[in-house]
Amino acid sequence: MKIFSILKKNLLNVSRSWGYFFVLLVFPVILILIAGVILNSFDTSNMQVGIYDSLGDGCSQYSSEDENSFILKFDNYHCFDSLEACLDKLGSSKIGLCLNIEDHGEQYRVDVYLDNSKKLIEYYSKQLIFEQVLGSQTTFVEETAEEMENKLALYSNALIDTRADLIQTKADLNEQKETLIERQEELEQTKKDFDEIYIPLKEMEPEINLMIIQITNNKNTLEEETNNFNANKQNIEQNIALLQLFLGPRLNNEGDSYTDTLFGDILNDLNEMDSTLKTINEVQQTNDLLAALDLIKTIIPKLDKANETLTRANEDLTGAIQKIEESEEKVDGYILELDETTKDLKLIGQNIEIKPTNLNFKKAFDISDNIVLLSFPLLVSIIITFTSLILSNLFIIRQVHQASYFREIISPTWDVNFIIADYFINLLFIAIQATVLFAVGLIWIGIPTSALLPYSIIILILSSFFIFIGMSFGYLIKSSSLSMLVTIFLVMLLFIVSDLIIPTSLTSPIVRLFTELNPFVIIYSLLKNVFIINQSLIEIYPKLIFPAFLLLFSIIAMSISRKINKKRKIS
Amino acid sequence: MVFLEFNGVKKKYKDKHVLNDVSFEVKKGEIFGLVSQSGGGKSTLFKILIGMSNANAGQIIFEDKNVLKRPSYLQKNTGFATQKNMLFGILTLKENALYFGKLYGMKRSQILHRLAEITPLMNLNKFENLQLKDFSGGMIKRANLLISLIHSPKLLILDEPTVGLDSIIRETIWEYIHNINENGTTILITSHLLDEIEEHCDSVGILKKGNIVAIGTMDQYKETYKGLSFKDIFEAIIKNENI
Repeated sequence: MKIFSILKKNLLNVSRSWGYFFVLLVFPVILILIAGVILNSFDTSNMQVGIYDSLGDGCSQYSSEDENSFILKFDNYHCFDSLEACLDKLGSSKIGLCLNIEDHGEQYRVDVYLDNSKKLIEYYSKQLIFEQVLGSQTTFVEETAEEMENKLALYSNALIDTRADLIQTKADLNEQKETLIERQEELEQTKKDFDEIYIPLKEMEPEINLMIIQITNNKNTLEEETNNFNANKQNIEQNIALLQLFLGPRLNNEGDSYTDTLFGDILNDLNEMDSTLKTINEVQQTNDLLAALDLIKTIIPKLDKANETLTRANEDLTGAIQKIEESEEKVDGYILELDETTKDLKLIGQNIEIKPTNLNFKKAFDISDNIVLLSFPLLVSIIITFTSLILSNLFIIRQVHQASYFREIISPTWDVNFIIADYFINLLFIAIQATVLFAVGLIWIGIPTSALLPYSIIILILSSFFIFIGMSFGYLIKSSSLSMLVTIFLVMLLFIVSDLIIPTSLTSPIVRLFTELNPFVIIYSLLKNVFIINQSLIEIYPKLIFPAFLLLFSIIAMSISRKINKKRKIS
Repeated sequence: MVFLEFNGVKKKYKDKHVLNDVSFEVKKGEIFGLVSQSGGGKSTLFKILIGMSNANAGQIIFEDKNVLKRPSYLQKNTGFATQKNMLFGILTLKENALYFGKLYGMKRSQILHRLAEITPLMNLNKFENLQLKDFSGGMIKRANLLISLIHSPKLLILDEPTVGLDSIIRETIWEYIHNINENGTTILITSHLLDEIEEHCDSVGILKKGNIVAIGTMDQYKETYKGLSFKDIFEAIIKNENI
């Protein structure tokens, strides 16, 4: 198959040439990656917001990091001393919109100055503000409600817990009180029982003392009488024995037996009387009685003390019960207060008020809404950037690939002569284009005549930069086709890293940084300021310093590239 | 006065010595041929001569001036032509002449006067206003020579001027080279066509591995190597390092 052979040859041709490989594979991948990074970093919150610092406090309240911030919160904002300074920056596309926020007591008045020179930015700016206002209000309400809810829940839980504790405490107190009352009742019963013994016993105390004395006396008397009786008994017995002895011999048997019997009976009676006395003495148990009475006498003081203790215990119990009752009253009071506090907390959430915000969208610039005029700076920028780079590159490629170039470089002519001449021829074509574009803008689009001078200077500086860069590539890259492709790649890169795909104001800071350094973006921004915002040369002058540095860099780069090319050509 | 003298010229790239103590003299008004094998150092010597490369040591004296220190003096007084067309095809011969004459610091009137002088010499006087892209191969070679002479150089360096041309055109070109020489221009020429060197050059230097291994007039070579053509002489010298 011949077609496969041709395909294989083409494939080998491409794959073995690093230039083609770079252009076909690496460059598109780089462009895709860069575009991906830019698109990925797109977020309306990236927009740089300019805020007029009317309070002079550094606008810290507008920071999204400030918890106590104002209803509008921004990740990226710049504080300005005056509204004019803010609008000036807005003109240079460093910021996306300007805010003037005033506190009118009952409401905030927010004047939003939109960059009406860029319709897309204007749209996204509005979106950002609406998102911020609605989002902030919603967040504020949500946060407040959530915060209140959390706090209320916290307080409520604490109150419920406290109430439960108090109720438990009250129950414990009540239980203690009941226990004490029960103990008091038991004590009272004990006291009552005690009094039943103690009081009569106490009343009997004088009688017992008297009884002890009487019994002691009786005992002594009885002992004396018994002793007397025994003494008399012995005397009688002795007298009987004497009498018997006396009478025995004198009396017959009958008389003797009679007397014996009689005397026997008297002795028996005496013995019976003695035993009776003993029985009386025994029956009376005087000593035991006295011991018992003495014991009673010693118990009574102890009973006195017991009585006192019982009385005091009863009093203490009464006091404790009273204190518990007082504590119960206090706990009831606390519970009542807690209930009232809970009711108050529930009412707090209903009393939150949000201060209204009055948004006023204003156009930052007094300019026409003509979309053609608004697009004109971008159109001019694209044409000038593209043609400057491609034309100069093409011009140098053609030159250095001609044999006559060698004759030129061996001639006694300084390089600067060639550089200047080559630059001016390129500039001439760009100047023609720029003139035609300006004429078109002047006649059909309505750009002001006063824009001619700043326009010319902007075109001169930026197109010169592009021309020198295009010339550098022409000198530096050996292959003419590769040189052209690299230049086209650069053009595409410049266009991608700009507002053409998405507004760079909405990209991440790092992307924005590269965008701000992009000469294509710079020329567009400057032309926009001149054509649309009608800025004069004096006003845009500071913004030309960086492009001037870029121009200087491009001249150096081009000179080095030419030297490299010259060396390569000679070798 | 020394017209052109190479005196101990040395050149090395990194550790490789390309030119080793090259010394020879080109006399005013002669046609000097410089021949070598490939890589002999001929191109390097020419680069140094036209001021596009620096020598590591030595001197190149041109009209008693060390042109290594003042390359512009030699550049102003030197014309250079190769086998390539080093002119702008889109421009006419006159426009090319005016452009390159200006690069050599000439006034327009001087250029036009000089052009009138040398166009008959190259037989191009009828083609001054014709774009070079419309010239034939031989005419372009002549135009190339003509432009190399526009600033009236005292020395004309010709690098392989006849390579790629048929024998008839080659003869024509040599005819013009002789015309130029007869008008007072010294010619330093390189060519690998040794029979042309033998036929047209007054003196010849042979360069081998960065050294001048032989130098002399063609008569001197013939006398030394009796019966041998210059081609044979060259081969003999190149093969025998002792010569």
